[in-house]
Amino acid sequence: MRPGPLFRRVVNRSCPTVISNRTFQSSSLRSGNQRTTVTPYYDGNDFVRDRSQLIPRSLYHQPEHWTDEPEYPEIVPPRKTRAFVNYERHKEAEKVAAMPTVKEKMAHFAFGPPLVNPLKVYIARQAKLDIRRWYQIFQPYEIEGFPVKYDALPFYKHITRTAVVADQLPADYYAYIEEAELNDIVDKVRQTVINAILAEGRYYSKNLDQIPVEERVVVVQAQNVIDALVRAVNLAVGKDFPHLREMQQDTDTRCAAFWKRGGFLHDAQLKRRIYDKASGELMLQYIEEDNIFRNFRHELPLPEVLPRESCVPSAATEQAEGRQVGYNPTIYGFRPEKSIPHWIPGHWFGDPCEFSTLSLDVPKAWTRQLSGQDEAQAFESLACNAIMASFGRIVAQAMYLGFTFLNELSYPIVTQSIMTNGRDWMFATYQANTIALWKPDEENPFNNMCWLTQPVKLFDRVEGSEVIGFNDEVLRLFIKQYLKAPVTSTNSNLRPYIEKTERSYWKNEHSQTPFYHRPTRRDGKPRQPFKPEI
Amino acid sequence: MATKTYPLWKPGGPQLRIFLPDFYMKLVRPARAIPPNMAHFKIDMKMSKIDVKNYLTKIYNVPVKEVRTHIKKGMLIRHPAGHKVEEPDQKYAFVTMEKNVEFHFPNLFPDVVRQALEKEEEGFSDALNKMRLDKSQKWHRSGAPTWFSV
Repeated sequence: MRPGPLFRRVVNRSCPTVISNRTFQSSSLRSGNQRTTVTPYYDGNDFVRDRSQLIPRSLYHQPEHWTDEPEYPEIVPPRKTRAFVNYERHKEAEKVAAMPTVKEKMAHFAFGPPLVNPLKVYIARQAKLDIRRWYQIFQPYEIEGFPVKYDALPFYKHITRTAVVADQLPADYYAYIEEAELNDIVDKVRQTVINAILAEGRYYSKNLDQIPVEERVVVVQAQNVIDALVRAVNLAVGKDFPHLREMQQDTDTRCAAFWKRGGFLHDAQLKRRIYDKASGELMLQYIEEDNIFRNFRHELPLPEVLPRESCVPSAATEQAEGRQVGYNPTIYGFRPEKSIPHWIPGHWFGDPCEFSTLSLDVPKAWTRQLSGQDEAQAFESLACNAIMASFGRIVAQAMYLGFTFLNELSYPIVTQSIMTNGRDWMFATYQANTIALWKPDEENPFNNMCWLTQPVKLFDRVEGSEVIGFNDEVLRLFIKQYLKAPVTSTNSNLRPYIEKTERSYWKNEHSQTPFYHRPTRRDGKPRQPFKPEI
Repeated sequence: MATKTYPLWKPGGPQLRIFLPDFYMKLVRPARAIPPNMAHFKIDMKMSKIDVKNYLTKIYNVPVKEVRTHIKKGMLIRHPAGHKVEEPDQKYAFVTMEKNVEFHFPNLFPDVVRQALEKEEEGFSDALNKMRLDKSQKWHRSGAPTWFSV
C-alpha cells in the first residue's frame, strides 16, 4: 500500500513541472552527445485511453501529483445533444467575457475558430491568402427594415423576441413633464416649424392646376423640418434641461448588427449541423439600408420603462391568436449572404457617449412602399421597421459596451426611435431586456418590449402661405421623447465585461479592418489588405 | 396573356372560340414549412409576377396579396455516355394570400389509395419474380417466351 495522499491529480499536457523537467533533461543529454532513451511513462494503469494524462515514471511519486481530496475532471455531456451545445456555448461565453477589449470580442466572432476544411486552410496559408476573406464561411440571413413583406410582423417579433404595445407610448414614463409646461414649449416652437414647412414644402405634380386645392399633396424635406424643430426646442428650453448640453448628435450614421436566434422550425435542409438540429438556430445580420438621419447619445442610459421581469412574452400573444412563428427567413424573402459578422452602432468604441437616447430616421421607402397599402398594413410595415431599427441599434451598442449574444445584458437598455417623411410621424420606445436569443424561449426568462404610436400627421395640407390642420400632438410627443433625461448616476458597472476602454481614431485602422464594412473606394483601387493587430 | 395572335373574326367564321392561357401553374408541396396563407407553385418560365397574380385572381378568385418568384437552376446530371448534362431551369412562385385564408397542401395519397397502390406493386413484383424463376429454370430456351415448349 502506498503511503501518503491517495488521489492522483489530473495532469494536463501543458503541466509546467513535467514539460520543463523533460525538456531540460533531454536537452542536457543531447548537448553531451550521448545516446538518449525516452523516459518510459507509467500511470499505474495499463489500460489508459488519454495519453496526455501520463507522467514519467521518475515523477510518479512526487507529492504534487497527489492530493488528499479527489479532483475529478470536467464532465462533458454526450455530443450531438442539446446539453453539449449549451456546454460549448458556456465555454465560449467565458472565453469572450475574459477578453479585455471590444476589438478582441468582435474579432473573435468575425474571424473566430477555423470551421472550414483544414486542407483549404493549409492551401490558403501556402498561397498567403487571408482565409476569411477568400473562403468566407459565414452566411447569415441579411435582414432589412424595408421593404417589408405582407404579414411579416410576427417574423420580426420572433427574431427580436419583442412584444408590441400598439397605439400608445408608456404614459408613466413620460409623466416627468407637466401638461402646462409642455404646452408652453409647444407655443414657443410651433411658429418655427410652420415656417420650415412653408419654406420647404413643394408640389410634385405636373397638372397641379387641375387638382383641387384640398387634394394637393405637399412634400416637405423631412431633414430640414427636423433640424428646425430640434433647434427651436434647444433655444426654447435648452437652459432648463442640462442633459441636452451633455449629449452628442450624429448625422447620417450607418447601423448594422449580428446575432443568433434559436427557435426556428425544424428544417430538413439544416439537419447536418448540430446547432441547428438542436435548437433551430440561424445567424442573422441586420443592415440599415438608409442611414439614420440623426442620432442623440449620452454617457448614461435611459431609465427602464418596466422592471425587467415584468415584460410580456412576445410568443404568448401569437400563440393566443393561434398563429405559429419560427418560419425560415427565406419565406419572407431574405437570403443568406456571405459576409463577416459586424456591428455598427454609429460611433466608435471607447466614445464617452455610448447610450443612444433618440434617433430620427427618414426611410426613403416610406412613400414608395406604403403608397399601395391600406392603413393597417402600412402600420405593420412601419412597426417592423421601428422594431428592427431599435433592436439592431441596441445590439450593436451593447457589443461596444461588452455585451454579446453570449454574455447577456446585466441591465435593460432603453432607446427611442422616430420615423418620419416630414408629414407623417411615428414614435417608438423600445426596452431591450435580452440579447441572448440563441437560447430556446423556455430557458430565457426575459423579453423585449416595444411601445408604438400610429403614424400621426403633422399637418393636413398647405394653401398659399397657410398650413392647414397643423397637429400639436406631434410636437408634444417629440418634446416628450427628446427631453427625457437619462439616469443621473448608476451604482452598477455599465461595462462589466471590458477591462479597458480604448479609443482609437487611427485612420488606417478603420479602413483596414473588414468588420467595419466601410464603403468601397470610388477610384476603383482595391481596399488595403487586412493586417490583424490583435 | 395569350402570346398567340388569333386570326381576326370575319362573317362566316366560327362563333365560339375558347382562348386558353399559354401558361401553366402547378401547385407543389413546399420543401420548408410555410404559413397557412401561403402557397408554392411551379410556374412557366415566361410568367411574371403580374401574370401569376392575374392567373389566380381572374380564373380561380384567389385573394392574392403578394407574389415572389425565383428561378432554380437545373441540376447537373451524368449522362450514360459519360459527359454531364444540365437539366432545364425551373421557375417557382411563393404566393401570399390574405391573412384569414387558410390553405394546406392536400394529402394526395390517403390510406385507401396507398394500400391499393401497394397491392398493385406487390402483384407486379410477384410477376417479376416468377418471370425470373422461369428464366433461370428454362435457361436452355433463352430468348424464347416461357409458354413456348415442345
